Amino acid sequence: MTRLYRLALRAFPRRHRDRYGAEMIDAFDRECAARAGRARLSFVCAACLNAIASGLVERQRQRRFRQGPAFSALDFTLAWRMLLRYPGLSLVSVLGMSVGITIAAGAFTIASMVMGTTLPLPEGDRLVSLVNWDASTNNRESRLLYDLEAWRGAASLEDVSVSRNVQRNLIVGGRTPEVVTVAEISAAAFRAARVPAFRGRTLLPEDERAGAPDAIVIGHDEWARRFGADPDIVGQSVGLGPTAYTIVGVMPDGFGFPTFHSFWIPWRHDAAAYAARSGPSIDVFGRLAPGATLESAGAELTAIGRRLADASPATHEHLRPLVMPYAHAFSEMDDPDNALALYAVEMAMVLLLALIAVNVAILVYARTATRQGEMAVRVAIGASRRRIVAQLFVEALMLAGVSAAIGIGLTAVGLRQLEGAMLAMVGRWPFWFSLELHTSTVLYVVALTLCAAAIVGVVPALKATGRQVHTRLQTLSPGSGSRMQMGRLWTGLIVAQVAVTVAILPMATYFAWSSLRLQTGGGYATAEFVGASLSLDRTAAPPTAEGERTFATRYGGALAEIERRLKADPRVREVTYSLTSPGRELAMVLEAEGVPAPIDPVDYNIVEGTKRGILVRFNRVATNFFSAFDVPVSIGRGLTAADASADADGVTPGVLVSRGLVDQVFNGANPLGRRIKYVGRSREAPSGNVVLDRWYEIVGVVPDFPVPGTFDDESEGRVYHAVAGGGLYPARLNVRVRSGDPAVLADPLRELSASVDPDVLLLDVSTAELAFKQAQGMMRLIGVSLALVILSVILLSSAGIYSLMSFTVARRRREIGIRAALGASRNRVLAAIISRVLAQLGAGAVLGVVAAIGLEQVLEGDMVRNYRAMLLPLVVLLMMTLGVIAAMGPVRQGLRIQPIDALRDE
Amino acid sequence: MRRLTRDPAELIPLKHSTYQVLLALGDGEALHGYAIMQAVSAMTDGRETILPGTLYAALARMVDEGLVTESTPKDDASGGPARRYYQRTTFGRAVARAESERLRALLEVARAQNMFGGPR
Repeated sequence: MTRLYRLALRAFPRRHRDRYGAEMIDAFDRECAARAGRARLSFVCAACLNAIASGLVERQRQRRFRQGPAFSALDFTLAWRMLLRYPGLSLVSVLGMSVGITIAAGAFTIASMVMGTTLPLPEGDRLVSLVNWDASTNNRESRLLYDLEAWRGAASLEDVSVSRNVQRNLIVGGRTPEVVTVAEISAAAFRAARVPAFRGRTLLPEDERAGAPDAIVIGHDEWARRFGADPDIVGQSVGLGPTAYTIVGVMPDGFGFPTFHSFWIPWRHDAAAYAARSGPSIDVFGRLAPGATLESAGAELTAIGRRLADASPATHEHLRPLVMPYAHAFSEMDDPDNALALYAVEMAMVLLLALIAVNVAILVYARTATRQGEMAVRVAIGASRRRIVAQLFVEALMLAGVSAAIGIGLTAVGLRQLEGAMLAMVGRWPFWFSLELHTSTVLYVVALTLCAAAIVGVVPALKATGRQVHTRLQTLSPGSGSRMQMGRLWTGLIVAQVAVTVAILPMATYFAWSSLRLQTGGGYATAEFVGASLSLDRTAAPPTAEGERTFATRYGGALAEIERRLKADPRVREVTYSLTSPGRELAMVLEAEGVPAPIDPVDYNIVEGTKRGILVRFNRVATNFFSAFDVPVSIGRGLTAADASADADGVTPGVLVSRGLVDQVFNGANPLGRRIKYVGRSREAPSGNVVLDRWYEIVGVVPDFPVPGTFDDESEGRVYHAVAGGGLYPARLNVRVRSGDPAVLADPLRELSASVDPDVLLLDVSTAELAFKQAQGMMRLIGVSLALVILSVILLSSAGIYSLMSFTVARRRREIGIRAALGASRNRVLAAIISRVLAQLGAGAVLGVVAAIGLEQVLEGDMVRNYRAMLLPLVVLLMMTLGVIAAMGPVRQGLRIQPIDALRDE
Repeated sequence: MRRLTRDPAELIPLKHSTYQVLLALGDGEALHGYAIMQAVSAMTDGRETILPGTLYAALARMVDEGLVTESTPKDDASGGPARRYYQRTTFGRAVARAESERLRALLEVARAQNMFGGPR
C-alpha cells in the first residue's frame, strides 16, 4: 500500500516531495493502520487519488510562484543598457524602424482624414451627402436640380440643402477686385450645420425669394482679414461683381461649411425650371432624421430613384441615388476604387514596417546568438523561458519605442510639411481636414510599436530559448562559436526579404527618381510669364440660346479688349491664350488613321466614348501661342486662323502634334497629312472644348513642350488645336513681359480686367515659375520620402545579410579550421562559406523578378516594356553586390581562422 | 518577501481545507501534520477528515500565504520521520475569523429560512 501511495505522490513536484514526502507517507501509514478491511481499502484509494489531484494542483501553483511576474523594472534598465552597448545595431534598427513607423503613421493620418465620417459640427456624424451615381459611365452625375425636389420629400432626411461654388469678383471699398469662391447655398444648410452666426444672422428662407434684398454672410477669417474685425460689420455692403450685397452675419471661426467657404449668398434657382440632367452642377446634402440610419435613408432614396427612372427612363435609367457620410462625397470615397486604393496604400505601409521589423529581427537574432551563454546560465539557475522571452521582448520594445518616439516626431514634422505643400497647391481644403497628430495616430503608433517589438523580440527569443538551451551550458567555452542554428525560418525570411526588395525597389526607385528629377524650368522662359484663368460671371445670363449668344459676344469682346490693352502696355512683350497652361493639358483617347488601337484599354477616368485607344493630352491655343513661347515648328507649318475657323467651314481642321506623340503613335514616322480623331473624353476635359469622332489632320510637329521632366504626366503626347480668342471658355491668359519680374503685372491685370467688365473673373493669377515650383514641391516631398524608405530598406537588407554571414562563419569555425588544416585552398574555403549566401540571394532575386513582373501585370504598368526595364536587372545586381559586400567582412574573418586556434577552442 | 499584513478579506472565501486546518490549529501549541489530521477529525466528531495529500498541499500554500508558521524542533520525541510543526499566525487567525463571519452571515440566512431542525 505504501508503495502505491509513494507512486501517487510522484504527482507532486520534487521540491514538495523532498520536503513533505516522508511525513505524508508516515501519516498515510498511520491512517492505514487505524483501519481494516474495506474501510482500509477505500481509504487507500481515496488517499492515492487525492495525492494525485493535489499533486497536480500543487505543481501548477509552484510553477506560477516560481515564474513570478513576466516583467520587472530591471528588464527596462537592462534593455536600455543593451541599446547603448550595441550602438551600431541600435542605430541601424532605430533608423529603419523610425522611417517605417513615420510612413505608416503618415499613411494612417491621411487615410483617417480622407475616410473620416464625422464633421467638427454638432452631431457631425449625422450629416450626409446625396449623390447620383451613373452606373453606365461609373461616374457621378452632379446636375441634380431635377432630383432635388423628390429627395426633399424623403422622410428619413431633414434640412435637405443645396450649394454650388461660384466665382465672383469681390469689391470691398475702392480696393482691387479679387476673385473669391462664394457658396450659393440654401438657408436650410445653416440649419443642417446647426451652427449659429457669430455676429448678425445666418441666411434665412426669406433671403431666397426673388426680389429679396441681396444678403451675404461672411466667414470669421475674411471678417478679420478684410474688415479688421469691425464690430459694426452687419449692415455694411460689399460688391460681388456689379451687384451690391448687404452683410447680414459673420460665422464663427473655423466654420467653412459646406467645404472651405467664407462667403455665403442665398440660393435662388427654381429647381422646377430645370429638366432632368440639366442645369448647374450642385452638391446636395442634409441631415439624417431622428431614428433614421444611413441604410434606411439609402433604401428610401433608392425607392425614389426607381420612381424617377420609371417616369424618365431616358435620363434616369442608369442613375443610382446614394446616401453617404457627408465628407465621403468630397473625398470621392463613393468610388469603391478610391476607398480600396486608400486601404491598399495603408496596408502596403504596414507591410513595409513589417519588412523592416523582420530585418531588425534578423539582426537581433544574431546578437542573441552571442548571448547564449548568458541565457543558458539563467535557465540553469531557474529562470523560466517566459522570463527570458519577456526580457528579450522588453529589449525589442526599447528599440521599437525609441523608433516610435522618433517616428512620431518625424510624422508631426512631415505632416506639417505636407499640409503646407498641399495648401500651397490647392489653396484651401475642406474645413474638416487637418493633418495634425491626433490621439488616434499615437494609439496606432503604439499598436504598431508593440507589433514591431513582437516581431523583433519574441520570434528570435522563442527560437533562441528552445529545448536545446538546456544543453548549451555544458558546451559553453570561450570562443567556441555559436551553437544556435540559422534555421529554415531565417533562411526563408532572408530569401523573402530579397524577393520583396527586388520586386518593389524598381518601381519605388523609378517613382522617387522621376519625382526628384523634375526640372523647375519647363524648358522655356518661365521667368518671363505670368498667367491667369479668365472667365465671365455667367450668373446673370439666362439659360436660353439667345442668352448664350449674348454671353459669348460679351465674353469675346471683353477678351479682345483685355488683349488689346495689354499689348499696348510697354512692359508686355506678347499676349497669348490657351485652354490650359503648358504642361497642364487635358487627357483624351485618340485613334489614328491606319494605326491599330492598343489591345488594353487606357487606365484613365473616361466619361464619354471608349477607353480603347491611345491616351494623349490636348490643348486649344491661339495661333501666336508657339511664337509667344519661342517654340519652333520642327516639321510642317504652324497653326493659322483658317485652322481655327475650319470647324465652321466644314474643312478638316489642321492640328499640331508634339514630338512625343509622333513617337508614341507613329513610331517616329513622318505624321504630316495623317489623320487623327478623339474617341474618348476624360472627366477633366470640358465637353464644350472637344468633339468626339471628328477627323483632324496633322499639319505640323512641335518639340515636346514643356520639356519632358517638368511634370509627372510626361509620357503622353500632345495635340494642339487652333482657336480664336473668344472661342475659349475659360481661357488661360499667358502674358510675357519684356524684362523684370512678371509678378508685378498681377495687380494691374486684375484692375485692367475689372475696368473692362466688372464681371470678368481672373483666377489663379501666378507666374509660370511659381506654378512649376508649387506643382513640383509635392512631388519632391513624395520623392524624398520614397528615397528615405529605399535607403533604409537597402541598409537593413545589407545589415541582415551581414548578420547572416557573421553567424554562418561563427557556426562553421571548426569546419573551416579542419579544412584549412587538411590543406584546402583559400578559394575552396571561400566558396564553401559564400555559396550559401549566394544561393539565398539568388533564390530571392529569382522570386523577386517573378513578383516584379507579376506586379507589373496587375498594376498595368509599362516598366517592363520600355527603358525602365533596365531598373529590374540593376536592382538585382545591386542586391547581389550589396549581399556579397556585406558578406565579405565575416568571410575575411573566416579565412583568417587558424586551424590550431579553431581546434583548440573546441 | 511576501507581505504578511494584508487584508484578510483578500483570501476570502477560503478553501475548505484551509479553514479546517486553521480551526484545527487553534491558538494553542504547534502541531505536526498527522496531529492536524487527527484534530480535524476530533473537532468534528469524525464527520470530517482531511487526507494527507490535501493537508500537505494546503500547509505548503498556507506557509507561503503567511497563515501559519512552520518550525522543525530539534528534540522531537513523537517518533517517525523528522516532523515540521505548524502554528497559526495572527494573520491566520484574522483570516479564519473573516471566513467565520462570512459563513455566519450565510447561516443567518439559512436560519431565517428555517433551515435548522423542525419540520422539513
